[in-house]
Amino acid sequence: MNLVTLIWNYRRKGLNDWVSQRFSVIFPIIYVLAVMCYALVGPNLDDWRSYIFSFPMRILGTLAALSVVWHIKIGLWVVVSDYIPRGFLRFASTIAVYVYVWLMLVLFVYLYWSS
Amino acid sequence: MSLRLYFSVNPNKNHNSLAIIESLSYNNISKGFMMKKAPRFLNLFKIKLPLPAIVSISHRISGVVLSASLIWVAYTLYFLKVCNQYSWQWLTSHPAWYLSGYLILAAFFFHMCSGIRHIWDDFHHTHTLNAAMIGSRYVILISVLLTLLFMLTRWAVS
Repeated sequence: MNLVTLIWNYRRKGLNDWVSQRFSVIFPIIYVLAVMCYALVGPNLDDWRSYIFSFPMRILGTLAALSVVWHIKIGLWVVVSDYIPRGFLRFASTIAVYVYVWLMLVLFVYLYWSS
Repeated sequence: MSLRLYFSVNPNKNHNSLAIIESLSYNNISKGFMMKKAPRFLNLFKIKLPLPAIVSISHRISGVVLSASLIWVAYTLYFLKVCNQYSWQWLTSHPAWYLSGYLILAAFFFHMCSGIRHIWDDFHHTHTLNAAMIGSRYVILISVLLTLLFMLTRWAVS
């Protein structure tokens, strides 16, 4: 195994991934159920805005974004390494997954906490 | 010795006929038989998966759909942040928006239910095919019910 393969595929710390992928679903589930149960009430635009950008929902949304990004990072790595053979293509798609995921995290933090 | 072993196994006697094997092609003659033992061209349309397998692969597909749906969520959040009353009405009455919202909602609840079933499997509670079948039926039933429940928000809003 050369060094690049060693770095990008090396010990994925399987137990760490397993545990974090299963515990990272808690905040997204709480957030989605909170939002959808609020949607059952039938709010208008101002209600939505004051609900989604209230302080507790910002905290919960940021935690949900962080958790879901971690979950997606592991899940898409599994999918990529299952279906794409070793080589440049897997290397590039792994990097694409990481870039997508961290860009999404930055975007959500910006959307919640700007202004 | 190994060549003799290979000739004793005829790759054309493929009883479930899942794979199309090119056993006597030009490559086999030129490169040798040993390289071509594995069936290469699996016909995916001939494979009939049982229900737990369908739920399992749909978990993966819905996960990929959901990870792409972060763009939808971010767009909606941005819209909610900056829009006025009229543009909000335009967005929420746009078919591309709410149909993809239904799709993402269904994918989310399916992914959630089948993920809970995956955790259940991880702790070895499904030893038999029957238990797996019952669990996957419950996954489909509960995710469809949750999706239909939260699709009611469409009528609650309007």
